[in-house]
Amino acid sequence: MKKTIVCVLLMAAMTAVVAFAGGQGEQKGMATITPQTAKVGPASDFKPISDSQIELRSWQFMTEIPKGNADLYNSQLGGHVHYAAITGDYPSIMQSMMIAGSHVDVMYAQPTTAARFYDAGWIIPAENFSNVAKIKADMYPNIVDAFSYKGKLMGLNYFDTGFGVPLVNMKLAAQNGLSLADVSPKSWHDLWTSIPNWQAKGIKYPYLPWWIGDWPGISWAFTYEVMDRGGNLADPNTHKPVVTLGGPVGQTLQDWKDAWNNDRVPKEVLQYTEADVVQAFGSGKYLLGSQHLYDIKRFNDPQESAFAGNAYVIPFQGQPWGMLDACEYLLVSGTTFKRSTQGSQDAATFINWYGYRDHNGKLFVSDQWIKKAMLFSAYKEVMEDPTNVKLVKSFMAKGSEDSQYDQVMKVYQNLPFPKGTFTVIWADDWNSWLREYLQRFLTENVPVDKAVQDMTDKINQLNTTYGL
Amino acid sequence: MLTYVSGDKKTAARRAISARFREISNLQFAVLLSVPVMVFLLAVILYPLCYSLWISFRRVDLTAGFHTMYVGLRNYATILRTDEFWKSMLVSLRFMADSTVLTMLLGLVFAISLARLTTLIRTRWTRALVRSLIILPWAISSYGGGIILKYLWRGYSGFPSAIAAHLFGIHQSLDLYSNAKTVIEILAIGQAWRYAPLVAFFLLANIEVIPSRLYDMASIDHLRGLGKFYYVTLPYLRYTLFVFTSIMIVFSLKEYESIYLQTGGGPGIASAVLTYQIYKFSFINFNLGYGSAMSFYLLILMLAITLALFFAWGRKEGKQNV
Repeated sequence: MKKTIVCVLLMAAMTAVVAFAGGQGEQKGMATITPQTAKVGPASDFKPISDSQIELRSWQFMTEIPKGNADLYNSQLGGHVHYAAITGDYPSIMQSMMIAGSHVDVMYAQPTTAARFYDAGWIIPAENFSNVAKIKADMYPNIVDAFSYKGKLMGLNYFDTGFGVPLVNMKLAAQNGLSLADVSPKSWHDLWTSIPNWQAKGIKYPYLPWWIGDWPGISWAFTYEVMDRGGNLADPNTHKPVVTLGGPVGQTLQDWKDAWNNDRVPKEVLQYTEADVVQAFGSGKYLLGSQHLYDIKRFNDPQESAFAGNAYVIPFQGQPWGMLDACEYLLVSGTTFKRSTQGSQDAATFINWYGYRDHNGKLFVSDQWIKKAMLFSAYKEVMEDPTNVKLVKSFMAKGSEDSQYDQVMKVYQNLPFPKGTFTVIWADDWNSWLREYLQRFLTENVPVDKAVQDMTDKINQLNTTYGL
Repeated sequence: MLTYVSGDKKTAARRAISARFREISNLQFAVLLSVPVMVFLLAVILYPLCYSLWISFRRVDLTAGFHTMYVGLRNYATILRTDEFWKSMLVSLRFMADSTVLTMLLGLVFAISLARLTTLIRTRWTRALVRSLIILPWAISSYGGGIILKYLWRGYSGFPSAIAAHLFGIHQSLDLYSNAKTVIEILAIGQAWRYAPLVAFFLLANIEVIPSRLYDMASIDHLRGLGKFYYVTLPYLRYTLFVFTSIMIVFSLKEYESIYLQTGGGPGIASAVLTYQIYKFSFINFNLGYGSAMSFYLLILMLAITLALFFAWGRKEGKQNV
């Protein structure tokens, strides 16, 4: 008994020591982060100068292309690039890898991640590249703006597209006696209020929203819908909340609540992954579906879609549809895993070869993406290349190639980009919170005014936490 | 060379040797054997536990290296003030209750069925095959199980939709995960499917040692199926049932992978158990102090429930077992 008491006391003492030791304030950092101000640039012949392995990481999308490109670089220029794809919640996993000091040199990212990683000192911004002026001159200004944070270009172009753009299944529309004009609402509010009319035609769920619980999910759908309606969630410069009940935020929430409570959308969409929502729309059961703009190619492909040749983009009639989805390649600073100077030089060379011009001066990788997957490029040269224009037209609905190409470009050119909540250090925190909150808003029938207040409080709390 | 040793000397030597061995008791010997395991456990359990406790009293900022700030009990207090925590606590308890009851019942049914099959199936190979098939779900990893269940239950390509279409001609997507009111029960069915075979095999081992004469005597006393089960079979199973109920409570409270894979805590936070919240706060929001503090609430919950179960049920069964 005495022994037991002694053991318990010892444990308690250990706990107290553990809990209160070091309670003298802030502990010294384990890794020293130095600002990345030194200029870096590619080697003139694009060949590596060391045997250092370059680690390239991407999310799961057509992984055979980055793998093939890495192999090509290795075989043609003697590189040592190793590629691996990440499965799951990409921004969180990459952040864990940075914290753990995992070896990553070049990675896929969205502007949300780029902002956070830059503030943490984990990336070298493309602004520090010796050829940045040339790179910027080759890009469209709106993409330069989307890729920029605190006035600096963060990364090099991976792809740009429209996210959440409603696509139309004209095969189902025709079967129900509807023309393209009948299924082309002018605004989001118009779309939501048109659903009962389409349901009256016998289509149970005419519209498949991008309300997926998985990343990048329902929070993005909410963000673009608010922006398309002319609103915003946070100020692009100060990042203070601009959420109002009577404005686009309140209107969007009300439309969503009405749709959910009146069985106008399939409730299972909350449980979908990105692959699920694409497959579901490809099944041909829905009249309209918010999708990536590049997936119009997929939905017009007989191998992938039940309504191939009949996938149309919703026409631009004054209100934007969706938002700009701009993805980039980031050069990891290597401070957490202590990369050698030569390794850093090789990483800079590789990212320039991969994200800008190759050893032949071609925008090889960007050109490959538009040809293989209709992923648009930030580079004017790729987008305006007549061969690529002709190819993109061939991905459109049969018989309407030219007019649909024009419509796609019109929608694409009018896409907004949410600087206020995307290019800020708390962007990933916010999207994670909003993704869960919006699901609760729908399933728990949270009042609209409370949701507006909760969003305002959350943005204020994030600004306080991060000292903004 | 042979040397002669007198009988007295031999006896004295034996005594000396046995006296030396008597210095270590059986308990001491057992403790000695356990030392390497104890050292290993201290390294892999106690250190992370203490480190986690240390983190729980701090605010961690990982975005600029690794900076921590002592915040006392603030993380613990904040958790108690959030409705998210209390909702997740209820979700965890509901999942625990559902899956434990289902697993134990299903395990018992499997065990009794297997015992019957053993008497019905004469071929040793067929018996082995049946047993192997039943144990399979338990052999699948949580991750694999989660993926399988997700495809099985989900709407447009799942089992319920296929059944509805083939049997009743209802061509609608029946997604069992999207109903916030029943999603926990759907997850609990999956949990029971995975763990019931394990319970069944331990119960089967108990059933097989029950002397057959007890059943003969029960027949003489005119006891039938349920009576025989209650008065003959159940007493032999009660201790194992207690042990596995405790194990299942712990397994259910710490279940994470399959829930994350199937529902991601949704819809909304309808299936966000405490382990999911701990993951979210620790590895999505990177609020490690908060996540660690929450994990200690989970630990307290597990200890409280298993101790309560022990005092209410286990102590009695233990005494009877002895």
